[in-house]
Amino acid sequence: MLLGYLRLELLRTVRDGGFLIMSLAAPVMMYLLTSHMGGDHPTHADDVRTLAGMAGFGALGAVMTTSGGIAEDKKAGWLRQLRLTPLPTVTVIIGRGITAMFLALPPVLAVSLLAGLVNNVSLSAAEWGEMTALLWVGIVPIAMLALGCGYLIEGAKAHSVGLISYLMLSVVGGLLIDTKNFPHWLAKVSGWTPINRYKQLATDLALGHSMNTAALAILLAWSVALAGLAVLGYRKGATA
Amino acid sequence: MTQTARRSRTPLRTGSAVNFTNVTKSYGDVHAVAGLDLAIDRGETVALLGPNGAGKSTTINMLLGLLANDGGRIELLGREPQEAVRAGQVGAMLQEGGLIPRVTIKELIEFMRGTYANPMPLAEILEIAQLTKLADRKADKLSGGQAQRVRFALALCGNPELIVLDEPTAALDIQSRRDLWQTMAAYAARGNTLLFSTHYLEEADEYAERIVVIAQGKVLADGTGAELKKSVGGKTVSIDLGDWDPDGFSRMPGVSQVEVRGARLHLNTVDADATVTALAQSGALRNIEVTGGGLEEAFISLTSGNNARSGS
Repeated sequence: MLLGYLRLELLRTVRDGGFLIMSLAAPVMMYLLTSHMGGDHPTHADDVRTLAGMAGFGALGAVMTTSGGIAEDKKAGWLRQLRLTPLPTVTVIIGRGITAMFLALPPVLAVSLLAGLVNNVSLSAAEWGEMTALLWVGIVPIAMLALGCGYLIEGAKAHSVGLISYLMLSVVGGLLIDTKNFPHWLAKVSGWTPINRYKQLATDLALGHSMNTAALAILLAWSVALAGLAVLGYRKGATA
Repeated sequence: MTQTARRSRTPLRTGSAVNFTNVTKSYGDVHAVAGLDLAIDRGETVALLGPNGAGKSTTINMLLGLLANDGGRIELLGREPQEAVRAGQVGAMLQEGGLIPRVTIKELIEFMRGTYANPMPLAEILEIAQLTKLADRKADKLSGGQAQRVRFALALCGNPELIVLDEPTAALDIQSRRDLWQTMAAYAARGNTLLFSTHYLEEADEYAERIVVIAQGKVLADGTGAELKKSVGGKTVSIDLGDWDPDGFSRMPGVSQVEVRGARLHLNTVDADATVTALAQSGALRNIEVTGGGLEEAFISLTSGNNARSGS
């Protein structure tokens, strides 16, 4: 059942040709711009942070567009139709969640490729693999947030909330400007966001550091909480 | 049942399909459904008829388990609504229901079929819904009538024995409406149960064996179209009064009430034929007019709430 649903949602997504351009344009331009600014010889660690930040920025933006798409499905009556099938709630959430995460793949891969080929960021094969894998898998809590917003919020408002979440999380999470340049209090707030910890884990993997357990715990806690929001949202939003 | 079901299922056609017992549902202070009792047997085709805001959609949403009832009991095919829906025993066609862009009709139907344990075969669905030639068309590039047939096809996927349709023909032109009814009637003719809501009186009269009139969240009347017309009682025969004595008319056959309005005499009658014959025999026919007796009058009379004979 999951595969059938996933297939349908992926088909719809892939056939919407615009998704690729939309999800790639902002992160690729921003990455090329920021990585060539500031003359004072960035260290390898700085380069990796910029890379993870911009790939994450792309992933976040791509995934958040899902909330608007789901709100449109709701308006079209598609969610009620789904509710009248035997598909269990969890199956719908997993299927829709993977579809949302699928959107994060192009920006993560594109920014990583640019880093390696154009910006000469040099990582081992394992480091590349682990970092990109985390940049993809680690976007789970945001995918769940996008689902929850889409199921619970009506129409155009869901688009706006998605956009605002995207910008807020990008800034506060330290994707655009690294948290080491933040005032102390903001860096502290940032440490509680899933996006900040997501970037931290990806950076650590790329630099060969060991996993920060606090970061992992915070990211997991957000994933569970926001998955709960998505489930609740579907149960509530698909009936009205 | 004389129906021979040769197709994908040989169903049992006995027992109750829908059972509402004293069901209530409120939104704040508004009692959308106020003590609704409704029993539908398997194999019946029933219309739920009522004005806007009568509680039709609320009733259907509760029936499908999309909305929880506040009080009372709802059973579908002997089980909880959600169980019956999940088991594929109930198919539903909702208002403006679920057609998504960028997938073909066939892909959409195949997905739906995949969610059920024992779906109806694809070819059979396409045939019943008259979609065989349109199978590869994108679901968002259809005319109103075609889109509605796709929604009907989606309701068929689980091979249901009860199909619930919320205003299936609203916003369709006459030809599309006829086409859709042809497909729905064919499915009902296999011995399946069909429950549809409508505000088209002719549609209820023409396609349903039984009409359930609801208003203010309650069942006001329940019966065949003919029974409903009869229950509201009679027609009005009116003539120019001239210098006749109105009191004399009250003893004429069929007449239940006499009323003078201006120069016209209005006779309410339960048997218009007999009344008119008597009028003719007594030479009182002057500008005769017989009105009423349609389902529309019955419906208005029932739902306006001031008819003493309502609720039969």
